[in-house]
Amino acid sequence: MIYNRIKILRTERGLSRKDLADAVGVNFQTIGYLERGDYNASLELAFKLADFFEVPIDMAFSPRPFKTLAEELAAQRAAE
Amino acid sequence: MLNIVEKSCAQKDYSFSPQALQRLRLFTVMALIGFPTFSVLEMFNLLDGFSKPVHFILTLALLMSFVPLVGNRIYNHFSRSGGRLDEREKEAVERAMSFSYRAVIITLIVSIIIGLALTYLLGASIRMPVFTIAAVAMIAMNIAFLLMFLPIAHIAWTQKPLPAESE
Repeated sequence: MIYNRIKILRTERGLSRKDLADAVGVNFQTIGYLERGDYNASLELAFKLADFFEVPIDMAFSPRPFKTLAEELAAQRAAE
Repeated sequence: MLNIVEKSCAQKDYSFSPQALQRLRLFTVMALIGFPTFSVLEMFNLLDGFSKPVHFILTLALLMSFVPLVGNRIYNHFSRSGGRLDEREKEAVERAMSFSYRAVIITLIVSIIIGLALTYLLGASIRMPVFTIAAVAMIAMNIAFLLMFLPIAHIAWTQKPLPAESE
């Protein structure tokens, strides 16, 4: 199982599934399944998505669940 | 006129909404039951007991049971898009095709075993209708039919519904 932040990245940019799907050349249903974790993107699609959002691939995809914003803030505060 | 034809033939986006998927599942069940049922009824002359109008209506209904499926947007997308399918869709089609081939091969093997068992264990006087030309043609048509519609049935029953973005 590969976790991803596609939904957050997409909504941050105010894009619809269809907009994102058209940009990376897949069907908008595929974006929906990806966001829901029902489908694991191929390496090619993962790179395309990371390129599109201009983020490193490990910021968009991870083999471990992503931390929530609250968890990341707490970790940051603890490090300070 | 040309515009109307182009518009009706153009690829329309499909949706795996719960309603669309339920509709597709119903259509696949109708198609997969209709033609094989007609074949069995016809092979064993079971429709002959009905009056001509009932026979005609039953035959028509069973033979036309696949029509709603071929008019379905999801079926059209997966069966005619070819190169336009994306990686997830291609993967789904490959899995569905492989399932269908295996299902048809297993069905054939089981039918052959049952046919041979009936012929040689129960006595040579019992002959399966398998050995008549009409029956072989019917079986070939059923195999073609299954290979055409089993893949979409596999897709319909293995894909999870995906509500629209706004829901």
